[in-house]
Amino acid sequence: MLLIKCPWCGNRAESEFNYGGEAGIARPANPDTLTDAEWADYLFMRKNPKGLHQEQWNHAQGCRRWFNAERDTVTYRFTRTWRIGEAPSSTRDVDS
Amino acid sequence: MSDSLKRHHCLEPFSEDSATIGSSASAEPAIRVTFDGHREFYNLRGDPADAAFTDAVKSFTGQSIPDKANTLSYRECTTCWLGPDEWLVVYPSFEAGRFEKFSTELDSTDATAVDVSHGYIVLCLSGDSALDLLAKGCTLDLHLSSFNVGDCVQTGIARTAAIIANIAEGDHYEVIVRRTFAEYLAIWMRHAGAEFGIGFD
Amino acid sequence: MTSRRLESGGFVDRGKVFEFKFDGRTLKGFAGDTLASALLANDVAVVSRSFKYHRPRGIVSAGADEPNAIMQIGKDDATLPNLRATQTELYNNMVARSTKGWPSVNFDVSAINALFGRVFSAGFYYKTFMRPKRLWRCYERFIRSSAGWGSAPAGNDPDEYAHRNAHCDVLVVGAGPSGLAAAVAASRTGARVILVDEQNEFGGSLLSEDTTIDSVPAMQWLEKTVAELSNCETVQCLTRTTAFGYYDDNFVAAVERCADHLGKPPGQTVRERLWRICAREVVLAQGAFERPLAFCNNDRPGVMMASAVQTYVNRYAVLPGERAVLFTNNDSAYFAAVAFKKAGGLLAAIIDSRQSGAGVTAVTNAVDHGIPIMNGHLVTDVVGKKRVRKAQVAQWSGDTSQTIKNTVSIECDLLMMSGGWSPAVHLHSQAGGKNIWDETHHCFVPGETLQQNRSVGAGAGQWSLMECLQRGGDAGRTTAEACGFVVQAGQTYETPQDQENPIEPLWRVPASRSPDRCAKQFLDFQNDTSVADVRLAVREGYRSIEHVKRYTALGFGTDQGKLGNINGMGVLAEALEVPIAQVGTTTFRPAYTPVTFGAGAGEDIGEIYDPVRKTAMHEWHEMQGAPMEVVGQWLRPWYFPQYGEDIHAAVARECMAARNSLAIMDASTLGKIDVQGRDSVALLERIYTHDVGRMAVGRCAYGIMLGEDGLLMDDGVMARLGEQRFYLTTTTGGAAAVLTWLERWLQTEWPELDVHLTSTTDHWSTIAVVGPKSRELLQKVGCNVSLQRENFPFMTVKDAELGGFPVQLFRVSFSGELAFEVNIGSNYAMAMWELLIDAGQEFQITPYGTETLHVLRAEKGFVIVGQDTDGSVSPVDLKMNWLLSKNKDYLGKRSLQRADLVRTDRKQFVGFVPVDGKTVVAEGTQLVNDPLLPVPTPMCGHITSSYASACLGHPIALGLLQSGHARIGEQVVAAQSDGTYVDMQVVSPVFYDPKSERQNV
Ligand SMILES: [Zn+2]
Repeated sequence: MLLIKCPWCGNRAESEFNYGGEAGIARPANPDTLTDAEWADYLFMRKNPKGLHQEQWNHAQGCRRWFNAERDTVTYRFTRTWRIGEAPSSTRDVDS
Repeated sequence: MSDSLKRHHCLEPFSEDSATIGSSASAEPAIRVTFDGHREFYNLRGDPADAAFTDAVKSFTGQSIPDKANTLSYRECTTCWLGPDEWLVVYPSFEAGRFEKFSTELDSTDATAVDVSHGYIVLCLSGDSALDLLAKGCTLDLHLSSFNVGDCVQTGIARTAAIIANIAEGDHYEVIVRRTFAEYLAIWMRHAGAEFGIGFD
Repeated sequence: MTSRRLESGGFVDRGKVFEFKFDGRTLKGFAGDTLASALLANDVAVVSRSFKYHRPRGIVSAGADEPNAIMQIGKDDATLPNLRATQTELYNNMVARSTKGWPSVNFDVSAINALFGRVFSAGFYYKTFMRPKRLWRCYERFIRSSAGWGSAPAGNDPDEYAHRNAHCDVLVVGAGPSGLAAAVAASRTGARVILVDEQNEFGGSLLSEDTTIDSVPAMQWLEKTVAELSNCETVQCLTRTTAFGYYDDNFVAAVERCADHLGKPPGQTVRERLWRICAREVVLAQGAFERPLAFCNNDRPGVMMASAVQTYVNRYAVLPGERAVLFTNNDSAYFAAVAFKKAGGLLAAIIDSRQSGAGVTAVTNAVDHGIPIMNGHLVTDVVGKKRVRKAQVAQWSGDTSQTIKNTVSIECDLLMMSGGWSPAVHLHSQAGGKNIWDETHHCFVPGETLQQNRSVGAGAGQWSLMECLQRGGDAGRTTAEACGFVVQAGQTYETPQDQENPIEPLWRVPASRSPDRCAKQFLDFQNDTSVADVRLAVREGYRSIEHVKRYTALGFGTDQGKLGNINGMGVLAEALEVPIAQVGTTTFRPAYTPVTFGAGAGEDIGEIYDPVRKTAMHEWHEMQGAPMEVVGQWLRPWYFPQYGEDIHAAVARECMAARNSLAIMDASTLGKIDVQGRDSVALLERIYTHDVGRMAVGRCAYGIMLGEDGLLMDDGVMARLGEQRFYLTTTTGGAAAVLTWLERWLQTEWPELDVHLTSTTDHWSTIAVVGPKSRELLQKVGCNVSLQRENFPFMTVKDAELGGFPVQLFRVSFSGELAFEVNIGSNYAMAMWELLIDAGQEFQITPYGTETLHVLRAEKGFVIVGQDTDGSVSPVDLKMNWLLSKNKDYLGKRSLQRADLVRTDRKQFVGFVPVDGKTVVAEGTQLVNDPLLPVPTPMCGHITSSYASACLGHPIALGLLQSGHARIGEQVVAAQSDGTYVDMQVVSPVFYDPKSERQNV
C-alpha cells in the first residue's frame, strides 16, 4: 500500500486519494484563438515519462484538497508533494 | 416551525433489530454503540486568516475554530477541521432558528455556512475494543501516540468515508458519517464487532 | 499398519488423541501433530500422485516448501483445497483428501502417462495441443481434470473472515532464534513491535534442534524469551501468521489462521484474519529451505529432506522410517542423521559427495553414534516404487560431467537428503531487493534493499546459531534506533561452536547414463520438471530463467519452487556454461504461500460487500412491495405493483396516473450541491454551457456540463437562490464526480475565485409531486406561498412551509406534466411523504418508481445521461444547441469546433417507433440500413431507451443514429439479438405534448 503525503493531512493510505493526471497543464486563456492542433495538444497530449512525473492528486476521503505530487513512474515512489499555488520544496522527501 | 415536527433519523430501522452480538447477554460487550441522529451540523467555509470570519464564529460558538489540520475544538459545540478552509460545526441538539442566526452572523464576511443537519449522524463508540473495531476498517494509526483527545480525522472506514472525533479521555470515539452511509457502517460494525462483542443502544 | 510414533519426546500431547480421515481411512494422531506428522506416524508413505506422470509421491518436507502432500481439508462448504499437510495442524475429526490422483493415490488411472515419459517432456503440452487450435478446448478439459488441484466448495463459505490494519515501528517476520533476538532487542527500547510466525508456536529451528543458548537448553531460553515478549505491552505476538506479501512503503500483508487448527471456528471467532501491517522498519528472519538432491527417482516415497526428518523426530516424535541412508553435500544434515539414530532409527550410512567429507564436529558426532560415513560417494538412484527399498551408491571423483557405475546398493526405507540450504529471500525480493550469489555457501542471499527492511539469520545466509542471535539482536536495535528510540549496548550470546567443512554444490547427481537418458531426476516435484527437461529447454534455445520456467513449468506449482528452483538454476547454469549468479532467480511475487479467498475478501461480502444507500422513504417503498433497482450504490423503487400486477401493468397504471391525475416519486438520490461565495456566477458560467448570469434570482434552469473534449458529462436542474448562491442537482450516479470536477477547476485552475461548494445530497430528500392535480395536493396539505402560475411559474423556486415543514419548493418537471419537487430535510422526509400520500388519496395518488420515471421522460424525449449518452455524445448530437451560449467561454466549448465534432455523419439523438406498432425492441439493439448486406453488416446506430407507452398506445424508442437529425421520416432496421428484424420509423424524440404546454399550466 502506497502512503501518500497530503500537504495538509500528512501520510495517508493511497485508498484515500484519487489520481488526476499530469500536473501543470494550464488551460489556454483564449481557446477560441487556438488552432485545432494547438487545442488538441492541450486536450490530449501528455508526457508519460519513465521516471519522475509531476501529477495532481486529490485527498478524496480526507480534506478534499487537490495537490501536486512528484512520483517516480518506475518505482511508484512519491518523492515530494506540495500545495497548489506553492513551489515544490527544493529537497525531496525520498530519493527517487 | 418547532422541533415538535416528526423526525426520523436514518438508523431507526437498524435499531429496531439490533441487539448485543458476540458476547453473552449478561456480560458488558467490549464495544458499545449509540446512535445520535438529531444533532445539528453546519458546514462552514472561510479563510482562517480573515479575522472578521474567525471573530464572528468565535462570538457565536464561544470557541475558536481549529486551524491545525485534523484537530477539533469543543465546548458548547464541536468544530472539526475538515480542510484548510472548511469545518464541520456540530451542536449536540436541535435548536430552532440557531442556524439562521449563525448564518446572519457571517453575512458581513466572505465566509459561508450550509445547514447539513439532516445529512449526518453520529455513532458513538465506547469500550475496550472500540479501537480494535476501528482498526478493522480504517487504515490510520489510531494509537495513543498519534491520535489523542482533540484530534479528528476524515478517513475511510471499511468502504465509506467518515470523520472520527476524539473528544473524551478513555475509549470514547464519535464517528460522524453521512446519512445514507450510516446503515452500511452500522451493519459493518455489527459484523466486524462480533468477534469482540458489540452492543447497540 | 505400523505406528512410527516414539514412546516419548516431542511436543505432541499423547493424552489428547485426535481421530481423522485420510482418503476415507480412519487414522489417529495427537494434539500438536500436523497432518503430515500424523500421516507419517501412521506409516502412510504415498500421499499423492504427481501432476504429469502420476507417480506415487510421499511427504518430502516439514514446512512451506512441501510439494507433494497437498490436501483438501474439511468438508462441505467449509472445505479448503490445496493445503500443505506439513503446515496443517491436526484437529479431531479432520477430513483430509489427497488433491491429486484419481480414483486413489495407490491406483491412478492416469499413471499410464508415466509409460510415455519421453513423450511428455518439457513443452509437450504447448507442442502437442496447440494445433489444431480449435481442438484445444477438448484437450484442455481432459488435462485439467486429470491434473486435479482440489475442488472449490459449491456453496458459500460458512466461516467469518476479518481484516485488520496495524501499525508498528518494527515488524519482525519469523520467530526463530534471529527473529526472537531482534524482537526482544527492539522491544526493550520501547518500540512498538509486531512479531509474526507461521507456526503454531514461536521457536523456529529451535523446536527441532537439540542445542544450548547461554549454557542452558535452547528450549529454556525460548520459553523465557517468549514470556518476555508476550508480557511486553508494546509487542504484538502473532503465531500461525504468515507474512505473505511485501508491498510498497513497508506495507506487509499477513494472514493469521485463527481457527483453521480447530476445524470449526467456535462462536464468533473468525477463521482467518488478514493483517495489513504498516511498519516503519521490517526485520526479515524467515530462515532457509533445505535443498533436495537431483538423483534418479529422487521423488520416490521415503525420500525426504534431512531436516524434515529431524523435525519429525524431535518435534513430533515420529520416526519416518526404520532404516535410513543420508545423502548430503554439507555438514548440517549429519545432525539430522544423529537425531534419527538417537531416536531409535537405524542409520545405514552417511553418503557424502565431498571427497574430504564433513568437519570435525559433524564427523565426531556421527562416529560417536556408530554411523558409517562414505565420503566421495553419491546416491545415484533408488529402488522401490511406492516406497524406497534400496539406495544405489557409487564412488565418485567429483567430476559432474562423468557417468558413473553403481558400486553398492544399501537397503533402506528412508532416504534423507540434503543439498545445502537456500535462504528464504521471498519477502526481501518482493520488497524490490536484489539477491547476490554467495560464493562460499553457494546460495542467493539478500543484497541491496529498496525499502526499510533488513534480513537476518539463515534467511540472510547466517548459518551458525551464534550469528543468528547476534545479528538478530543487532537488527532489532538498529531498526528501533532508526525509529527514534534510544538503544542500549548489544547483548552477547553464547552457543556451541561447530567446526564445519564447506558445502560443495551438487545441482544434479551423475548417473550411470547421461542426464538426458537416465531415469528421471526431479527438480520440481509438484510439476514433474526434471533435469532432462531443463536441458531440453536449453537445446531448444531458451536462455533466460524466466523463459525456461514457463517452458518447463519449473517453480510454477503452489509451492512456487521453494524446493526445486535452485537446483533448476544450477542445472541451467551448467547447460548454458555460465556461472549460476548470471542465471539469476525468477521473480518473487506475493503470495509467499497460498492465501484463501476468504481472507482476501474479509468482511466485504454479502450485505456489506459495498455500501447500500437508501433514501429516507425506503422502508415505506419496501412495505408497498416495490422491487428495488440498483442505481450505483443506491436502491431505488423500480415500480409499485398492485394486486399481482406485472411490471408492464404497473408501469402503465403509474404512467397514466401521472398524466391524468396525481403521482408521487422519491427523487432523493439526485446529487445536490450548494454553491456560495462571491464568485459563484463566474465559476458556474465556466462550467455550464448556458448563460448562468442571466438567470434571475428564484429561477431554475436545465443545465449541462461538458468535458473539455466537448462531450456531455452530466446534466441537471440548477436554481439561483441568491445573487451569488445556487443549488445544483446532478444525476444520481454523477454526484460525487461532479463535485470533484468543480472542486478541481476551482482549486487548481481558478483559485482566485471565491466559491464554496458543499454536498447536500444527504441533507435534502426530494419528493416529486407530478400530475394535473399536484397543485391541488400541495394546497390541500397547506402551503404558505401561492402555487398559482402567476406567482409560481414553471422553472422557479421558493422557500416555503408545507404542511408545517420547512421546504424548498421547485416548480420543475421531468415528465412534462404540471409538477413540483419538494426538498425537505431528510429527517422530516418520511413524515412529509406520509402526509402527501394521505392527503392524495382523494386524487388516487399513485407512487411510481424508476421505470415509470424513464417512460415519462422518454415520452418527452428527455435524455438520461449514461443511458442515452455514453461519453461519446456532444450536445449538438443531442440537438441541445439552444443551451450553448455564444456569449462566453465554457469548458468544452472549443472542442465543439473540432473536425470530429462537426461531422454531419455523427450518431445523433432521435426517436423511433416500430412500424408494426407493437414490438418493444431491446435497449442496446443495433440499427442497420440494410440487413441484407453481407456480414459483417455495417451498423448505423443503436437503441438507447425503449418502452411501451401506455398514453401513446404504442412502443417508443430513443437512440443514436448516424446523421439521424436529417433522417426524420425515414426507416431503419433494428437487428434483434434473436436474428429477427424490426422496421423502425425515425421520428422526433419528443413523442408527447411537443409544444410543452402541459407543464406550464
Ligand atoms: Zn488531506
